[in-house]
Amino acid sequence: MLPGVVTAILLAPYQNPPGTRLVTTLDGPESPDHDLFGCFRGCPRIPRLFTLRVQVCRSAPQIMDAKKIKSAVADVTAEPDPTLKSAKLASLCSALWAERGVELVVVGGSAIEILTEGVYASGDLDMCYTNKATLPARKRQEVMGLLGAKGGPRNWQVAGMYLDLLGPAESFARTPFRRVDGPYGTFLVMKPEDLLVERVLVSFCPQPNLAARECAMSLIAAVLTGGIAVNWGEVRRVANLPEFRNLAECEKLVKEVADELKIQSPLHSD
Amino acid sequence: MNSRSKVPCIPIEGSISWEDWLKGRRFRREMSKRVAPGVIRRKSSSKDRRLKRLFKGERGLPFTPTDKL
Repeated sequence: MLPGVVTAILLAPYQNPPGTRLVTTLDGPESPDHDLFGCFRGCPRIPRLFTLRVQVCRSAPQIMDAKKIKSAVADVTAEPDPTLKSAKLASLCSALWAERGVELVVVGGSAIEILTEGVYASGDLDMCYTNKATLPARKRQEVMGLLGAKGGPRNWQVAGMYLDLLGPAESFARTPFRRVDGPYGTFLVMKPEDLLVERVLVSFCPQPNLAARECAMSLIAAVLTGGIAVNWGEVRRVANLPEFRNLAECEKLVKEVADELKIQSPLHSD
Repeated sequence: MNSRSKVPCIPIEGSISWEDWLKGRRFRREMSKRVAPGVIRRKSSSKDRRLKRLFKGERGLPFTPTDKL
């Protein structure tokens, strides 16, 4: 059975509105999709090990042709603003990887920079996969080769900066990844709920870390003043998880920033 | 100050358009800088060697000044 036929069978129960498309990913113990489809052929019980994720995306898939890619790479390369450059590269890479069924998300300092403009990030863009499915090394090299990238197979020099692909995204918040409709396609940004709790943790553990503290404060300020929407209930829940256990520190820092901005903290302890 | 109604917010659900994201850059920078003034880019990291090689001794491109955003 061909992979496309398997996909059609799996998607049969799903209806998407006109003008949209379904993006599917298979989450399983082993990654590349073509191997998963191989498993489907051989053993009908195997699919139970996998989760089929189906997302409805707004537009039809747009395959970027060589001319479009060349012009996009030239645009990213010429971009002098580091945050714009990161965002444009994230948009371009996300589009190319999405065409091949893999969804990427901007993480770490690059994500915080895109959310806050906090003059924090360095000259590299960190991205992760949103699930365990990724492309095999050869395919990764070929995709990044379309952009004239050097190096690999997990980090590349491309368009005058570095792109690091760090593996599956680590996220605990139940809110969606944030979405920016970039110039070459929508790209995802790590959830600010996760970023906030994680950055507060790094600000005091294992050692006090001033850069992480200022970074957390700038993120909190951008949130408290309405630049970014967050679910404070999720911030509280994530900070209470055994993975973090830093709710008290989060509350304290949010209050400190709120006091500085002369507004009420939404994360008070009572 | 209540600029919330004027400045596009990065939403939880749905997406922010490129134009709105660009429009909100200056506001987000100004708000961030109210509590963390100055450049807070880390002074060093494990990636320094390659970064400094690419960016002429710096760890990245210089940030655009707030008034130019």
